[in-house]
Amino acid sequence: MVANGDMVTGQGRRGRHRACGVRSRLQRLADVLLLLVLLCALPLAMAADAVDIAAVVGFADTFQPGRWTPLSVTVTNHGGDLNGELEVQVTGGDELRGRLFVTSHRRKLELPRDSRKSLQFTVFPQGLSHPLVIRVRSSGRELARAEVDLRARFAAERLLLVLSRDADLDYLNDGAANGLRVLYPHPELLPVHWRGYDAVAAIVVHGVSLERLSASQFDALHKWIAQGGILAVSGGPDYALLRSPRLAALLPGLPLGMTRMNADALQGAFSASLDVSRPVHVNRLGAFRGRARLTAGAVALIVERTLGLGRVLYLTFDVAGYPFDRWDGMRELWLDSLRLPPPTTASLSVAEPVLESPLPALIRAESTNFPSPATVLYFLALYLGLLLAGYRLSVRGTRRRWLAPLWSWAAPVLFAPAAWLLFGPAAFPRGATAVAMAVIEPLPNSIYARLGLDLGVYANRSGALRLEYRGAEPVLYLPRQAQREGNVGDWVFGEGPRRFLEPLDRRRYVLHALEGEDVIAFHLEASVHDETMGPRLVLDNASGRTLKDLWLVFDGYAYELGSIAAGARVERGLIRRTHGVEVGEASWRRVLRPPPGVPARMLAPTRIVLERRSQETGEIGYPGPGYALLIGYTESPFRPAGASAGWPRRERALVAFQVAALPGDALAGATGTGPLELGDGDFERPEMPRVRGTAADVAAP
Amino acid sequence: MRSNPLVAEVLVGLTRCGKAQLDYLGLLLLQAVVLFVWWPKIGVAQMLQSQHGPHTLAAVVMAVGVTMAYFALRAGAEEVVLPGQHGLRDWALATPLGLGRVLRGYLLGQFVHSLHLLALSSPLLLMAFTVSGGEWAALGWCLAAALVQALFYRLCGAITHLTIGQHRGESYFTVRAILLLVYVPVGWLAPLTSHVAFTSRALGESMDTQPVFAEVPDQVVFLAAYAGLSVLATLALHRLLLRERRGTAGPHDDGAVGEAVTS
Repeated sequence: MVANGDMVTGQGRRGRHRACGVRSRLQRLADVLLLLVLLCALPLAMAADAVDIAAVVGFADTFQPGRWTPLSVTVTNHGGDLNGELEVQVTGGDELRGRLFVTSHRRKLELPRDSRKSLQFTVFPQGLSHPLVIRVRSSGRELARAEVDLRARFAAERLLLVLSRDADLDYLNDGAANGLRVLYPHPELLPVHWRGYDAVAAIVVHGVSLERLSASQFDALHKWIAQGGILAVSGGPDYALLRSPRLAALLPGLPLGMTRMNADALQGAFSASLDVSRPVHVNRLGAFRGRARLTAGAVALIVERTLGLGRVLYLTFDVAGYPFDRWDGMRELWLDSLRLPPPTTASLSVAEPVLESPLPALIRAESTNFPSPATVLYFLALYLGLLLAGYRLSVRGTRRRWLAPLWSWAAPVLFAPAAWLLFGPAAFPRGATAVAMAVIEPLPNSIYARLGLDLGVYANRSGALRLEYRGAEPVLYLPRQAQREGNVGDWVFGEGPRRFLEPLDRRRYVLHALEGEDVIAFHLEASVHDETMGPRLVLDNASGRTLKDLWLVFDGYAYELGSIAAGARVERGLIRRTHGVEVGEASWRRVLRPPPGVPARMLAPTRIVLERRSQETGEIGYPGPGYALLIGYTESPFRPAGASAGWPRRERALVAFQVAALPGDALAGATGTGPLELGDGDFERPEMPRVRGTAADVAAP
Repeated sequence: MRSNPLVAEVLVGLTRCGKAQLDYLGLLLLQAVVLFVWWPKIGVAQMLQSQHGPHTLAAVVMAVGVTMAYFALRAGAEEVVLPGQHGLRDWALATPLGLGRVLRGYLLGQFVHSLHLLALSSPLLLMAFTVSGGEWAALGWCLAAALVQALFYRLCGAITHLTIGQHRGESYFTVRAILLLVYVPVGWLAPLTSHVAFTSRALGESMDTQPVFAEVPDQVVFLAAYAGLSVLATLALHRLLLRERRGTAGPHDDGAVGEAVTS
C-alpha cells in the first residue's frame, strides 16, 4: 500500500510537476508576450508624449469668425529628432446642409530633440462649431494631436491692435455691433501674411520698435497698410524708436527732437477740457509727407500720409502719457483721427453675389481638345481595312501565305504604338494642367498691387494633383459659387518655403477651382491729365514686367498705347479725335486684343473679369467718373514650380490700373493738399520719377 | 510550352488564315464601333463642366471582355477552330497523351490564343486609354480578368461540346445561353463575378473614389472566383474526357495517333 501509495504519490507528483511545468511554460510564454506588447507599445506611448502642441488663435488668442486670422502653433519636442509635418485642419461649410469641407494647412517640421519651434499659419475659420485640429505626423504616424476650441476665443467686434508695453487704450472698447475690441498682442505673434489682419480695423504703435518683427511680418504689415489698413504711431520721449528704418519708411515724417508746449497751445489744439497743469513735450517734426491733421501753431500734432489705399498717422505726442492718459476726449480724438471705414462684410461671405468664373472660358479658349472623331474613324478604318486586306490576300493565293503571320501579328504590333503616339503624346498628352487668371490692380502711390486670382487644376488621368507654385503667396479659398452649390471638396495647402495646393478629390476631368488674393510687389506710377484735346499720360513702369497691348480708357474714349517695356517711362499726349476710339460704358471692355498667337475667343476670360470688377464697383461704375483706366496684359505672377514646373499652363494676367484724372493745367505732382508726397516706393528707388501717379489723397473709389 | 502538341497547334494555327480569324475580325469591328460611339464628342471644357470623364476605355474593355468570352465559348464548343486545329475529343481519344497533358496544353493554348486576341485589340485599347485617363494597373487588372474569364468560358464551351456537341442546334443555343446567363442575371445578382461591374469599378467613375484600387480586394475576388470556377470546370472536363476515353472500345492505334497529331 505504501509502495502503491508511494507510487501513486509519485505519479501524482510527476503529474503535478508536469502540470506545473506546462503552466509555468504557459506563464513564461504569457510573460514574454506581455513584455513584447509592452515593448512595442512603449515607443508609441513615449512618442505620443514626446511632442507637445500649443496654439494661439488670432491676436492674444482672440479672433473674429468669418475672417482670415493668424494661428501660431508651438511644437515642443521632448523626444528624439523629429522630421515630420505639422498640419492644421479647418472645417468649413454649412453643416445643416451637409456641405462640410476640410482645408488642411501643412508645413514641414524638423525638430531636434529637446527643442521648440513656432510656426505660423493664416487660416479661415468660417464658424465656431468645429475646432481647429492640429496634428504632428511623422512617417505616416500621428505623434501628437490638439484641438483648439474656437467658441471660447472669438470676438464679434472689429479688432484694434495696440503694440505697446504700457499703453492702455481700453476706453476704445465698444461692445456694440460693429464696435471695437482693443487687444494687446505680442509683436512677435503678428501675422506673417497681410491677410492675417483681415479682422483688424487699425493698429496703434506706442513705444515699440518694428525692428523686432521678422521680415515677413513687416512685409505683411506694409502690404496690409497698402491695401487699405490704418496704422497710428504715437510719439513720445523715446523718439529714437521712430527713426528706426522700418518705422521711418512708414511714417509721414521723422522726429528731429522734442519741443515744449504750454497748456494754452495744447488746449487750443485739442480741447479746453484737456487738463494741463504743466508743460508737455511733443516730438518736433521737420519736413513731412502727407498733411497735418492737427497743429498747434507751427507744431504738428497729428500728421497723416497715405500709403497705397491705407493711411499712416503720426501722433507726435505720447498718447498714453500725461495729460492724455486722463483726458476724456481721447476716445473722440482717436475715432476722429483714425476715421475707421464702415465694416465690410466678411471677406468670404457666401451671401455675396457670385459672378461667373473666367476659368471655363480660359480652358475653352486654350486647352487641347480630344482628337476628333473623324481622325478616330480614319485610324480604325485603316487598321481594320489592313487586317481584312491581309486576310483576303493570304486566303486567295498560296504564294501570299507568308502574309498571314504578318497580318496576324505585325499589324497590331505596328498599330498599337502608332495609336498611343498619335492619340496620346502627340495630340492629347496625359497629365495635369494648371489654369490661372490673374488681375493685377496696382495700388496708387505704392510699390504694391492687389492680386486677384482664379485658380484651377485638372487632370485627364486619375491620381494626385499637387501643384507647387511660386511668385505669389495668395490666401486661397473655395469659390463662393461652389460653396453655395455644395460642390466643394477638401484641399491641402502646403505653406512655408515650398508652397503647394492639392485637392483631395482625385477624380479626373474635374476642375478643382480656387480663388485667391494677395498683395504683390508691382510698382506702376501713372498720372492722367485731362487736357482740352485729350488726355496726357505719364507712365513709369517700374513693375519689372512688360505691359503688353496696353490701353487707356478715359472719358468715353479708348487709346491704344501698345507695349511698355519694363523700366520704361512714357509721357504721351493723346488727341481724342485722332488717337481715340469712342467707346460706351460697357463696350470699352472689348478693346483689348488677344496677344499674338492667342485666338480671338481668348478674350472671353478677360471680359469676364472686367465685367466682374465692374459689377463689384456697383453704381460708381468702372472706371468711374473722373477716373481713367489703364488695362493691358503682363506675365502671370503665379507660376508653377518644382515638380509642377512642367505642367501645361493656361494663364492670363491682366493689369487694370485705375487712375484719378488730374485737371489739364495742373502741374504734375502738385495736386496734393499737403507737401509733396514721395510715396513709399521712393525709399527703395530714390531715382524714381518726379511725376506722381494718382493724387495721393484721392484713394480709389 | 511549345513541347505540348496542343500549344504548338495553336501557335501554328495563329499564323494561318481561316474562318476563326475572320470571326474575330467581326468582333474587332464591334469593338471599334464601341470605341467610336463612346469616343468623346465634346470638348475638354464641357467635360470639365460636367465633371465626368469619358467612359471610352471602360466601354472598350467591357466590349473586349464580352467578345473574348463569346469567342472562347464558341472555340470551346468547337464552333470556331484555328486552321489545322483538332478538337479536344480527338486529342483525348485518338492520342496516347495523358489527359493531364492534354488539358494543360488545352488551357495554355487558350491562353496563347487569348493573348493574340488582346494583341489585335491593343490599338483600340490604347486609343481609348489616351483620352479616358485610366491607370495602367487598373487596365492590366481588367485585361487579366478578361483573360481568366475567357478561360472559364472556353472550358464551359468544351463541356457543352462534350456533353451535347453532337446536336448542333442545342449546342448553338446552349453556348449563347451560358454567356447571357452568366453576363446578365448572375452578373447582376453577384456583381463581384461580373466583368462589366469589375471594369466599371476599376476604370469608371467609382474608381476615383477608391484611389487605392490596388489595395481593394475586388479584383482578387474576381480572379479567384473565375480561377476556382475554371478549376472546377477543368475537373469536370477531365472527368468527361476520362469517361469518353474509358468508353472507347479497343486499343489505341499508335499510327493513327501520330497521324492525328501531325496532320
